[in-house]
Amino acid sequence: MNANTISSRRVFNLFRFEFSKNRKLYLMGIPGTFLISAMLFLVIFYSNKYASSWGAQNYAVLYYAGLFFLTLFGIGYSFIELRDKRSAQLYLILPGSAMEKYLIQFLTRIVLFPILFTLLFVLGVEVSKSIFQISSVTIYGKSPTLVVDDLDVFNMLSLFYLWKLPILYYMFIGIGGVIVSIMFTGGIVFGKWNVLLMPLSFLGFTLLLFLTSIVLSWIVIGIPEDSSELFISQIRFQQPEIFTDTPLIVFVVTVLMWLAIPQFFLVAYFKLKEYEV
Amino acid sequence: MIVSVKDLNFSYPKRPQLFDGLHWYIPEGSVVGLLGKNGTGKSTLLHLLSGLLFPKSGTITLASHIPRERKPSFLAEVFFLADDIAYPGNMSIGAYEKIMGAFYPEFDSSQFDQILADFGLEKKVKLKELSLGERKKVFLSFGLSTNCRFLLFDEPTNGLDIPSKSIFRKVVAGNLTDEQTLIISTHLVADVENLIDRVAILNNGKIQLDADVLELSDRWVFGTSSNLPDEALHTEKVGTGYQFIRSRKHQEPQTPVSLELLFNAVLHNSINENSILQTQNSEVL
Repeated sequence: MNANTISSRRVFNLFRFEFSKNRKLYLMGIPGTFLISAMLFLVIFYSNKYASSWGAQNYAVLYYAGLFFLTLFGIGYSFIELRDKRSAQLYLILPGSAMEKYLIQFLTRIVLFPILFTLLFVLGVEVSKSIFQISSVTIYGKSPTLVVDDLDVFNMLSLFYLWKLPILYYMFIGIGGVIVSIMFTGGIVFGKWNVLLMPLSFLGFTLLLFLTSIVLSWIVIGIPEDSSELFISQIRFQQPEIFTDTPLIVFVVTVLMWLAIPQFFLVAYFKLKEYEV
Repeated sequence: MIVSVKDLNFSYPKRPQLFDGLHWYIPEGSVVGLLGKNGTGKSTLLHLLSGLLFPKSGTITLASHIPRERKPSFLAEVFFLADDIAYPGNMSIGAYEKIMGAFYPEFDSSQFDQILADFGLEKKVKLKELSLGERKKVFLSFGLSTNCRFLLFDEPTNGLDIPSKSIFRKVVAGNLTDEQTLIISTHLVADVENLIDRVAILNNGKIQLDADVLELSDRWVFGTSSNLPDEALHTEKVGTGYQFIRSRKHQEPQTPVSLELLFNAVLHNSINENSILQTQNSEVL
Protein backbone atom coordinates (compact mmCIF):
# COMPACT_ATOMS: atom_id res chain seq x y z
CA MET A 1 0.00 0.00 0.00
CA ASN A 2 1.22 3.51 -0.79
CA ALA A 3 2.77 5.07 2.32
CA ASN A 4 0.61 8.15 1.94
CA THR A 5 -2.84 6.55 1.81
CA ILE A 6 -4.66 5.77 5.03
CA SER A 7 -2.61 3.41 7.14
CA SER A 8 -4.19 1.48 10.00
CA ARG A 9 -0.95 1.71 11.99
CA ARG A 10 -0.84 5.50 11.75
CA VAL A 11 -4.54 5.79 12.52
CA PHE A 12 -3.97 3.65 15.61
CA ASN A 13 -1.02 5.84 16.63
CA LEU A 14 -3.10 8.98 16.15
CA PHE A 15 -5.95 7.51 18.22
CA ARG A 16 -3.50 6.71 20.97
CA PHE A 17 -2.10 10.24 20.79
CA GLU A 18 -5.64 11.70 20.95
CA PHE A 19 -6.59 9.67 24.02
CA SER A 20 -3.28 10.25 25.79
CA LYS A 21 -3.17 13.98 25.08
CA ASN A 22 -6.80 14.55 26.07
CA ARG A 23 -6.91 11.96 28.81
CA LYS A 24 -8.39 14.41 31.30
CA LEU A 25 -11.26 15.21 28.96
CA TYR A 26 -12.20 11.55 28.67
CA LEU A 27 -11.52 10.65 32.30
CA MET A 28 -13.65 13.52 33.60
CA GLY A 29 -16.17 13.69 30.77
CA ILE A 30 -17.40 10.10 30.93
CA PRO A 31 -18.24 9.85 34.65
CA GLY A 32 -19.29 13.52 34.61
CA THR A 33 -21.86 12.97 31.87
CA PHE A 34 -23.24 9.92 33.64
CA LEU A 35 -23.52 11.72 36.99
CA ILE A 36 -25.19 14.77 35.46
CA SER A 37 -27.66 12.56 33.61
CA ALA A 38 -28.47 10.43 36.68
CA MET A 39 -28.72 13.45 39.01
CA LEU A 40 -30.94 15.34 36.58
CA PHE A 41 -33.45 12.50 36.36
CA LEU A 42 -33.39 11.92 40.10
CA VAL A 43 -34.23 15.58 40.66
CA ILE A 44 -37.00 15.41 38.03
CA PHE A 45 -38.50 12.20 39.45
CA TYR A 46 -38.41 13.37 43.06
CA SER A 47 -39.82 16.79 42.30
CA ASN A 48 -42.69 15.16 40.36
CA LYS A 49 -43.23 12.26 42.74
CA TYR A 50 -46.92 13.02 43.22
CA ALA A 51 -47.61 13.70 39.55
CA SER A 52 -49.37 11.03 37.52
CA SER A 53 -46.78 9.99 34.95
CA TRP A 54 -43.49 10.69 33.27
CA GLY A 55 -44.04 10.07 29.58
CA ALA A 56 -41.52 8.43 27.32
CA GLN A 57 -41.50 11.49 25.02
CA ASN A 58 -39.96 13.59 27.80
CA TYR A 59 -36.78 11.51 27.60
CA ALA A 60 -36.36 12.49 23.97
CA VAL A 61 -36.65 16.21 24.75
CA LEU A 62 -33.91 15.97 27.38
CA TYR A 63 -31.82 13.64 25.24
CA TYR A 64 -31.79 16.04 22.29
CA ALA A 65 -31.20 19.01 24.58
CA GLY A 66 -28.21 17.08 25.93
CA LEU A 67 -27.02 16.35 22.41
CA PHE A 68 -27.23 20.06 21.68
CA PHE A 69 -24.94 20.83 24.63
CA LEU A 70 -22.65 18.04 23.52
CA THR A 71 -22.51 19.65 20.09
CA LEU A 72 -21.56 23.00 21.59
CA PHE A 73 -19.06 21.81 24.17
CA GLY A 74 -17.88 18.49 22.73
CA ILE A 75 -18.03 18.68 18.96
CA GLY A 76 -17.29 22.41 19.18
CA TYR A 77 -13.95 21.45 20.70
CA SER A 78 -12.80 19.66 17.58
CA PHE A 79 -9.22 20.18 16.41
CA ILE A 80 -8.31 21.27 19.92
CA GLU A 81 -4.60 20.81 19.10
CA LEU A 82 -4.76 23.69 16.64
CA ARG A 83 -5.86 26.19 19.27
CA ASP A 84 -2.42 27.31 20.20
CA LYS A 85 0.68 27.66 18.11
CA ARG A 86 2.85 25.29 20.08
CA SER A 87 0.49 22.33 20.12
CA ALA A 88 -0.45 22.99 16.50
CA GLN A 89 3.21 22.62 15.50
CA LEU A 90 3.45 19.30 17.29
CA TYR A 91 0.16 18.06 15.81
CA LEU A 92 0.76 19.09 12.21
CA ILE A 93 4.14 17.41 11.94
CA LEU A 94 2.99 14.15 13.51
CA PRO A 95 3.54 11.55 10.81
CA GLY A 96 0.02 11.10 9.50
CA SER A 97 -1.88 12.44 6.53
CA ALA A 98 -4.42 15.24 6.80
CA MET A 99 -7.09 12.66 6.01
CA GLU A 100 -5.97 10.42 8.87
CA LYS A 101 -5.91 13.33 11.31
CA TYR A 102 -9.31 14.44 10.08
CA LEU A 103 -10.63 10.92 10.44
CA ILE A 104 -9.58 10.80 14.08
CA GLN A 105 -11.39 14.07 14.78
CA PHE A 106 -14.48 12.91 12.91
CA LEU A 107 -14.59 9.49 14.56
CA THR A 108 -14.07 10.82 18.07
CA ARG A 109 -16.23 13.97 17.90
CA ILE A 110 -18.97 12.96 15.48
CA VAL A 111 -19.21 9.22 16.15
CA LEU A 112 -17.70 8.36 19.54
CA PHE A 113 -18.97 11.35 21.55
CA PRO A 114 -22.68 10.86 20.62
CA ILE A 115 -22.43 7.08 21.15
CA LEU A 116 -20.83 7.57 24.56
CA PHE A 117 -23.36 10.26 25.42
CA THR A 118 -26.27 8.00 24.43
CA LEU A 119 -24.93 5.09 26.49
CA LEU A 120 -24.33 7.32 29.51
CA PHE A 121 -27.74 8.96 29.12
CA VAL A 122 -29.51 5.58 29.02
CA LEU A 123 -27.43 4.37 31.95
CA GLY A 124 -28.25 7.56 33.86
CA VAL A 125 -31.99 7.11 33.19
CA GLU A 126 -31.99 3.47 34.26
CA VAL A 127 -29.93 4.06 37.41
CA SER A 128 -31.99 7.08 38.52
CA LYS A 129 -35.25 5.25 37.77
CA SER A 130 -34.13 2.27 39.86
CA ILE A 131 -32.99 4.50 42.73
CA PHE A 132 -36.30 6.38 42.61
CA GLN A 133 -38.38 3.21 42.58
CA ILE A 134 -36.41 1.53 45.38
CA SER A 135 -36.33 4.63 47.57
CA SER A 136 -40.04 5.30 46.91
CA VAL A 137 -40.97 1.99 48.48
CA THR A 138 -38.59 2.14 51.41
CA ILE A 139 -38.39 5.83 52.36
CA TYR A 140 -41.70 7.53 51.74
CA GLY A 141 -44.54 6.96 54.16
CA LYS A 142 -46.95 8.14 51.52
CA SER A 143 -46.31 6.27 48.28
CA PRO A 144 -45.47 8.47 45.32
CA THR A 145 -47.95 8.45 42.48
CA LEU A 146 -45.50 9.06 39.70
CA VAL A 147 -45.38 6.28 37.13
CA VAL A 148 -42.13 6.48 35.20
CA ASP A 149 -42.44 5.13 31.69
CA ASP A 150 -39.70 2.88 30.39
CA LEU A 151 -37.19 4.49 28.08
CA ASP A 152 -37.68 3.24 24.55
CA VAL A 153 -34.23 3.89 23.11
CA PHE A 154 -35.22 3.06 19.53
CA ASN A 155 -38.14 5.50 19.57
CA MET A 156 -35.98 8.19 21.13
CA LEU A 157 -33.15 7.81 18.63
CA SER A 158 -35.33 7.41 15.57
CA LEU A 159 -37.42 10.46 16.45
CA PHE A 160 -40.49 8.23 16.24
CA TYR A 161 -42.63 11.07 17.55
CA LEU A 162 -41.98 13.10 14.39
CA TRP A 163 -42.76 10.35 11.90
CA LYS A 164 -46.32 11.54 11.46
CA LEU A 165 -44.97 14.67 9.75
CA PRO A 166 -42.16 13.46 7.49
CA ILE A 167 -41.03 16.93 6.39
CA LEU A 168 -40.70 17.97 10.03
CA TYR A 169 -38.65 14.84 10.64
CA TYR A 170 -36.26 15.52 7.77
CA MET A 171 -36.05 19.20 8.67
CA PHE A 172 -35.17 18.36 12.28
CA ILE A 173 -32.44 15.99 11.14
CA GLY A 174 -31.24 18.63 8.63
CA ILE A 175 -31.04 21.38 11.25
CA GLY A 176 -29.27 19.00 13.65
CA GLY A 177 -26.83 17.95 10.94
CA VAL A 178 -26.04 21.54 9.99
CA ILE A 179 -25.47 22.54 13.62
CA VAL A 180 -23.19 19.54 14.18
CA SER A 181 -21.20 20.14 10.99
CA ILE A 182 -20.75 23.88 11.55
CA MET A 183 -19.68 23.36 15.14
CA PHE A 184 -17.18 20.73 13.98
CA THR A 185 -15.82 23.05 11.29
CA GLY A 186 -15.91 26.02 13.66
CA GLY A 187 -13.32 24.25 15.83
CA ILE A 188 -10.74 24.86 13.12
CA VAL A 189 -12.12 28.23 11.96
CA PHE A 190 -12.77 30.04 15.25
CA GLY A 191 -10.50 28.02 17.56
CA LYS A 192 -11.19 28.66 21.23
CA TRP A 193 -13.93 31.18 20.43
CA ASN A 194 -15.95 28.59 18.53
CA VAL A 195 -18.46 27.98 21.33
CA LEU A 196 -19.36 31.66 21.20
CA LEU A 197 -18.71 32.76 17.64
CA MET A 198 -20.21 29.88 15.68
CA PRO A 199 -23.63 29.96 17.45
CA LEU A 200 -23.57 33.76 17.03
CA SER A 201 -22.79 33.40 13.33
CA PHE A 202 -25.57 30.83 12.99
CA LEU A 203 -28.04 33.05 14.85
CA GLY A 204 -26.95 36.03 12.75
CA PHE A 205 -27.52 34.08 9.55
CA THR A 206 -30.93 32.87 10.75
CA LEU A 207 -31.87 36.44 11.70
CA LEU A 208 -30.78 37.59 8.26
CA LEU A 209 -33.03 35.00 6.64
CA PHE A 210 -35.94 36.06 8.86
CA LEU A 211 -35.42 39.74 8.10
CA THR A 212 -35.12 38.97 4.39
CA SER A 213 -38.57 37.35 4.43
CA ILE A 214 -39.96 40.39 6.30
CA VAL A 215 -38.41 42.90 3.90
CA LEU A 216 -39.57 40.84 0.92
CA SER A 217 -43.03 40.87 2.44
CA TRP A 218 -42.89 44.68 2.75
CA ILE A 219 -41.77 44.98 -0.88
CA VAL A 220 -44.19 42.47 -2.40
CA ILE A 221 -47.28 42.90 -0.19
CA GLY A 222 -46.62 46.28 1.39
CA ILE A 223 -45.84 47.59 4.89
CA PRO A 224 -48.68 46.64 7.26
CA GLU A 225 -50.61 49.57 8.78
CA ASP A 226 -50.91 47.79 12.10
CA SER A 227 -47.50 48.18 13.77
CA SER A 228 -47.98 44.91 15.71
CA GLU A 229 -47.85 43.05 12.38
CA LEU A 230 -44.77 44.89 11.15
CA PHE A 231 -42.48 41.91 11.69
CA ILE A 232 -44.91 39.24 10.55
CA SER A 233 -44.32 38.08 7.03
CA GLN A 234 -47.41 38.48 4.87
CA ILE A 235 -46.03 36.15 2.22
CA ARG A 236 -47.78 32.79 2.35
CA PHE A 237 -44.85 30.40 2.59
CA GLN A 238 -47.27 27.53 3.17
CA GLN A 239 -48.20 27.62 -0.51
CA PRO A 240 -47.56 26.09 -2.92
CA GLU A 241 -47.27 22.58 -1.49
CA ILE A 242 -45.07 20.07 -3.24
CA PHE A 243 -46.50 17.13 -1.27
CA THR A 244 -49.37 16.92 1.18
CA ASP A 245 -48.57 19.15 4.18
CA THR A 246 -45.17 19.93 2.63
CA PRO A 247 -44.75 23.55 1.49
CA LEU A 248 -42.31 23.93 -1.39
CA ILE A 249 -40.15 26.47 0.44
CA VAL A 250 -39.81 24.19 3.49
CA PHE A 251 -38.93 21.30 1.20
CA VAL A 252 -36.28 23.35 -0.64
CA VAL A 253 -34.76 24.66 2.60
CA THR A 254 -34.61 21.11 3.96
CA VAL A 255 -32.87 19.83 0.82
CA LEU A 256 -30.39 22.72 0.95
CA MET A 257 -29.61 21.99 4.59
CA TRP A 258 -28.94 18.34 3.82
CA LEU A 259 -26.66 19.37 0.97
CA ALA A 260 -24.82 21.84 3.22
CA ILE A 261 -23.87 19.21 5.81
CA PRO A 262 -21.14 17.43 3.76
CA GLN A 263 -19.93 20.81 2.47
CA PHE A 264 -19.16 22.01 5.99
CA PHE A 265 -17.32 18.78 6.75
CA LEU A 266 -15.34 19.21 3.54
CA VAL A 267 -14.38 22.77 4.53
CA ALA A 268 -12.93 21.43 7.79
CA TYR A 269 -10.79 18.93 5.88
CA PHE A 270 -9.34 21.56 3.54
CA LYS A 271 -8.75 23.98 6.42
CA LEU A 272 -6.75 21.26 8.17
CA LYS A 273 -4.83 20.41 5.00
CA GLU A 274 -3.87 24.04 4.41
CA TYR A 275 -3.30 24.99 8.05
CA GLU A 276 -0.07 26.91 8.61
CA VAL A 277 1.61 27.72 11.86
CA MET B 1 21.67 18.24 -2.97
CA ILE B 2 19.39 16.72 -0.38
CA VAL B 3 17.81 20.04 0.59
CA SER B 4 17.00 22.48 -2.15
CA VAL B 5 15.41 25.88 -1.76
CA LYS B 6 14.88 27.75 -5.01
CA ASP B 7 13.76 31.34 -5.41
CA LEU B 8 11.85 31.28 -2.13
CA ASN B 9 9.56 34.19 -1.38
CA PHE B 10 7.74 34.43 1.88
CA SER B 11 6.10 37.03 4.08
CA TYR B 12 3.69 36.93 6.96
CA PRO B 13 0.36 38.70 6.38
CA LYS B 14 0.63 42.49 6.69
CA ARG B 15 4.38 42.26 7.27
CA PRO B 16 7.30 43.15 5.01
CA GLN B 17 8.81 40.52 2.76
CA LEU B 18 10.93 38.14 4.85
CA PHE B 19 12.53 36.06 2.10
CA ASP B 20 13.03 37.50 -1.33
CA GLY B 21 14.32 35.02 -3.89
CA LEU B 22 16.20 32.94 -1.35
CA HIS B 23 18.34 30.09 -2.72
CA TRP B 24 19.90 27.45 -0.52
CA TYR B 25 21.27 23.98 -1.16
CA ILE B 26 22.50 21.50 1.41
CA PRO B 27 24.45 18.31 0.67
CA GLU B 28 23.35 15.05 2.27
CA GLY B 29 24.86 14.23 5.64
CA SER B 30 25.67 17.84 6.55
CA VAL B 31 25.44 19.34 9.98
CA VAL B 32 24.52 22.91 9.16
CA GLY B 33 24.57 25.86 11.49
CA LEU B 34 21.95 28.32 10.35
CA LEU B 35 23.01 31.61 11.89
CA GLY B 36 21.31 34.96 11.85
CA LYS B 37 20.28 37.89 13.98
CA ASN B 38 16.97 37.84 15.83
CA GLY B 39 14.06 38.29 13.47
CA THR B 40 15.93 37.42 10.31
CA GLY B 41 13.69 34.40 9.72
CA LYS B 42 15.75 31.43 10.93
CA SER B 43 12.78 29.80 12.64
CA THR B 44 10.50 30.69 9.75
CA LEU B 45 12.89 28.98 7.35
CA LEU B 46 12.80 25.84 9.48
CA HIS B 47 8.99 26.05 9.55
CA LEU B 48 9.02 26.23 5.77
CA LEU B 49 11.41 23.28 5.51
CA SER B 50 9.24 21.18 7.80
CA GLY B 51 6.00 22.06 5.99
CA LEU B 52 4.47 24.04 8.84
CA LEU B 53 4.46 27.15 6.65
CA PHE B 54 3.99 27.33 2.90
CA PRO B 55 6.10 29.45 0.51
CA LYS B 56 4.35 32.30 -1.30
CA SER B 57 6.37 31.29 -4.33
CA GLY B 58 9.45 29.26 -5.12
CA THR B 59 10.14 25.62 -4.38
CA ILE B 60 11.45 23.67 -1.45
CA THR B 61 12.41 20.01 -1.68
CA LEU B 62 13.89 17.69 0.90
CA ALA B 63 15.09 14.64 -1.04
CA SER B 64 12.06 13.92 -3.22
CA HIS B 65 9.60 15.43 -0.75
CA ILE B 66 7.75 18.71 -1.04
CA PRO B 67 7.24 19.80 2.57
CA ARG B 68 3.99 21.73 2.03
CA GLU B 69 2.26 18.49 0.99
CA ARG B 70 2.92 17.12 4.49
CA LYS B 71 2.76 13.55 3.28
CA PRO B 72 3.22 10.96 6.02
CA SER B 73 6.25 9.52 4.22
CA PHE B 74 7.89 12.97 4.55
CA LEU B 75 6.74 13.60 8.10
CA ALA B 76 8.16 10.23 9.18
CA GLU B 77 11.55 11.36 7.88
CA VAL B 78 11.68 14.80 9.45
CA PHE B 79 11.91 15.80 13.08
CA PHE B 80 11.45 19.44 13.95
CA LEU B 81 12.51 20.53 17.41
CA ALA B 82 10.84 23.87 18.01
CA ASP B 83 12.31 26.35 20.47
CA ASP B 84 9.12 26.36 22.51
CA ILE B 85 7.55 22.98 21.94
CA ALA B 86 4.17 21.85 23.30
CA TYR B 87 4.28 18.75 25.46
CA PRO B 88 1.72 16.55 27.16
CA GLY B 89 2.61 17.47 30.73
CA ASN B 90 0.86 14.52 32.36
CA MET B 91 2.93 12.01 30.44
CA SER B 92 6.09 10.54 31.87
CA ILE B 93 9.15 10.48 29.64
CA GLY B 94 8.55 6.75 29.17
CA ALA B 95 4.93 7.27 28.11
CA TYR B 96 5.98 10.07 25.77
CA GLU B 97 8.51 7.73 24.18
CA LYS B 98 5.87 5.00 23.76
CA ILE B 99 3.20 7.27 22.26
CA MET B 100 5.40 9.46 20.07
CA GLY B 101 8.06 6.92 19.16
CA ALA B 102 5.46 4.77 17.42
CA PHE B 103 5.10 7.45 14.75
CA TYR B 104 8.71 7.12 13.62
CA PRO B 105 9.61 3.83 11.92
CA GLU B 106 13.33 4.16 12.72
CA PHE B 107 12.88 5.13 16.35
CA ASP B 108 15.41 3.36 18.55
CA SER B 109 14.37 2.92 22.15
CA SER B 110 17.77 1.81 23.42
CA GLN B 111 19.38 4.83 21.76
CA PHE B 112 16.82 7.04 23.52
CA ASP B 113 17.68 5.41 26.87
CA GLN B 114 21.38 5.93 26.25
CA ILE B 115 21.05 9.62 25.35
CA LEU B 116 18.76 10.21 28.32
CA ALA B 117 21.36 8.58 30.53
CA ASP B 118 24.03 10.83 29.00
CA PHE B 119 21.91 13.79 30.01
CA GLY B 120 21.27 12.27 33.43
CA LEU B 121 17.51 11.90 33.07
CA GLU B 122 15.17 9.11 34.20
CA LYS B 123 12.20 7.88 32.19
CA LYS B 124 9.70 7.66 35.03
CA VAL B 125 9.64 11.42 35.61
CA LYS B 126 6.64 13.34 34.28
CA LEU B 127 7.33 15.99 31.68
CA LYS B 128 5.62 18.71 33.70
CA GLU B 129 7.95 18.05 36.61
CA LEU B 130 11.00 18.89 34.52
CA SER B 131 12.66 22.26 34.10
CA LEU B 132 12.72 23.94 30.70
CA GLY B 133 16.29 22.79 30.09
CA GLU B 134 15.55 19.22 31.15
CA ARG B 135 12.55 19.06 28.85
CA LYS B 136 14.73 20.33 26.05
CA LYS B 137 17.10 17.45 26.74
CA VAL B 138 14.22 14.96 26.54
CA PHE B 139 13.07 16.29 23.17
CA LEU B 140 16.64 16.44 21.89
CA SER B 141 17.16 12.83 22.95
CA PHE B 142 13.89 11.88 21.33
CA GLY B 143 14.66 13.73 18.11
CA LEU B 144 18.04 12.05 17.74
CA SER B 145 16.52 8.63 18.51
CA THR B 146 13.92 8.99 15.76
CA ASN B 147 16.82 8.56 13.33
CA CYS B 148 14.92 10.76 10.92
CA ARG B 149 16.73 11.64 7.74
CA PHE B 150 16.18 15.34 8.37
CA LEU B 151 16.61 16.88 11.79
CA LEU B 152 15.65 20.53 12.19
CA PHE B 153 16.63 21.97 15.55
CA ASP B 154 15.51 25.48 16.38
CA GLU B 155 17.65 27.04 19.11
CA PRO B 156 18.38 23.62 20.65
CA THR B 157 20.75 24.96 23.31
CA ASN B 158 18.33 27.56 24.66
CA GLY B 159 17.74 26.74 28.31
CA LEU B 160 20.63 24.29 28.58
CA ASP B 161 23.22 24.88 31.29
CA ILE B 162 26.93 25.02 30.40
CA PRO B 163 27.77 21.33 31.11
CA SER B 164 24.67 20.27 29.17
CA LYS B 165 25.75 22.27 26.15
CA SER B 166 28.95 20.27 26.05
CA ILE B 167 26.99 17.01 26.41
CA PHE B 168 24.66 18.24 23.68
CA ARG B 169 27.55 18.59 21.25
CA LYS B 170 28.91 15.16 22.16
CA VAL B 171 25.51 13.50 21.94
CA VAL B 172 24.66 15.06 18.60
CA ALA B 173 28.03 14.21 17.10
CA GLY B 174 27.81 10.65 18.39
CA ASN B 175 24.31 9.89 17.21
CA LEU B 176 24.26 11.05 13.64
CA THR B 177 24.79 8.84 10.63
CA ASP B 178 26.11 9.90 7.22
CA GLU B 179 22.60 9.74 5.79
CA GLN B 180 21.19 12.23 8.24
CA THR B 181 21.13 15.95 7.63
CA LEU B 182 20.91 18.24 10.63
CA ILE B 183 20.11 21.93 10.47
CA ILE B 184 20.64 23.83 13.69
CA SER B 185 19.23 27.32 13.81
CA THR B 186 20.77 29.40 16.54
CA HIS B 187 21.91 32.83 17.54
CA LEU B 188 24.17 31.30 20.19
CA VAL B 189 27.02 30.89 17.75
CA ALA B 190 29.54 29.47 20.21
CA ASP B 191 27.23 26.56 21.11
CA VAL B 192 27.52 24.97 17.70
CA GLU B 193 31.21 25.59 17.09
CA ASN B 194 33.08 22.27 16.69
CA LEU B 195 29.77 20.58 15.87
CA ILE B 196 28.76 21.89 12.49
CA ASP B 197 30.50 21.11 9.24
CA ARG B 198 28.67 23.74 7.24
CA VAL B 199 27.63 27.27 8.05
CA ALA B 200 24.83 29.33 6.52
CA ILE B 201 24.28 32.94 7.49
CA LEU B 202 20.87 34.41 6.92
CA ASN B 203 20.57 38.15 6.53
CA ASN B 204 18.24 40.54 4.72
CA GLY B 205 16.02 37.76 3.39
CA LYS B 206 18.82 35.83 1.77
CA ILE B 207 21.49 33.29 2.61
CA GLN B 208 24.39 35.68 2.68
CA LEU B 209 27.05 33.01 3.13
CA ASP B 210 26.84 29.23 2.80
CA ALA B 211 30.10 27.40 3.09
CA ASP B 212 31.82 24.26 4.27
CA VAL B 213 33.64 24.90 7.54
CA LEU B 214 36.67 22.92 6.39
CA GLU B 215 36.80 25.00 3.25
CA LEU B 216 36.65 28.17 5.30
CA SER B 217 39.56 27.13 7.49
CA ASP B 218 41.37 26.08 4.34
CA ARG B 219 40.93 29.48 2.69
CA TRP B 220 40.98 31.90 5.57
CA VAL B 221 42.87 32.52 8.77
CA PHE B 222 40.94 33.52 11.86
CA GLY B 223 43.31 35.14 14.30
CA THR B 224 44.12 37.85 16.80
CA SER B 225 46.82 40.50 16.59
CA SER B 226 47.99 43.43 18.65
CA ASN B 227 48.25 45.57 15.50
CA LEU B 228 45.74 46.19 12.78
CA PRO B 229 46.69 43.49 10.27
CA ASP B 230 47.29 44.26 6.60
CA GLU B 231 45.20 42.59 3.93
CA ALA B 232 42.55 41.60 6.42
CA LEU B 233 39.11 40.90 5.01
CA HIS B 234 37.55 41.84 8.32
CA THR B 235 38.83 43.17 11.62
CA GLU B 236 37.28 43.78 14.98
CA LYS B 237 38.79 45.64 17.89
CA VAL B 238 38.90 43.44 20.99
CA GLY B 239 40.43 44.87 24.17
CA THR B 240 43.84 46.17 23.23
CA GLY B 241 44.15 44.08 20.06
CA TYR B 242 42.29 42.97 16.98
CA GLN B 243 40.50 39.89 15.75
CA PHE B 244 40.80 39.41 12.04
CA ILE B 245 39.97 37.25 9.06
CA ARG B 246 42.39 37.16 6.15
CA SER B 247 43.31 34.88 3.28
CA ARG B 248 45.41 31.90 4.26
CA LYS B 249 48.84 31.82 2.75
CA HIS B 250 50.37 28.78 1.15
CA GLN B 251 51.36 26.14 3.75
CA GLU B 252 50.31 28.43 6.60
CA PRO B 253 48.77 26.39 9.48
CA GLN B 254 44.98 26.20 9.49
CA THR B 255 43.08 27.96 12.26
CA PRO B 256 39.72 27.04 13.74
CA VAL B 257 36.85 29.00 12.23
CA SER B 258 35.59 31.64 14.61
CA LEU B 259 31.87 31.57 13.87
CA GLU B 260 31.24 34.75 15.79
CA LEU B 261 33.85 36.66 13.83
CA LEU B 262 32.65 35.17 10.57
CA PHE B 263 29.07 36.05 11.46
CA ASN B 264 29.98 39.66 12.21
CA ALA B 265 32.06 39.88 9.04
CA VAL B 266 29.12 38.73 6.94
CA LEU B 267 26.71 41.08 8.67
CA HIS B 268 29.10 43.98 8.02
CA ASN B 269 29.39 42.88 4.39
CA SER B 270 33.14 42.47 4.84
CA ILE B 271 32.92 39.02 3.31
CA ASN B 272 30.41 36.98 1.38
CA GLU B 273 30.31 33.86 -0.77
CA ASN B 274 32.19 35.69 -3.53
CA SER B 275 35.07 36.30 -1.12
CA ILE B 276 35.63 32.55 -0.93
CA LEU B 277 35.59 32.32 -4.70
CA GLN B 278 37.99 35.24 -4.99
CA THR B 279 40.34 33.58 -2.51
CA GLN B 280 40.15 30.37 -4.52
CA ASN B 281 40.82 32.19 -7.78
CA SER B 282 43.77 34.15 -6.45
CA GLU B 283 45.32 30.90 -5.23
CA VAL B 284 44.78 29.26 -8.59
CA LEU B 285 46.37 32.23 -10.32
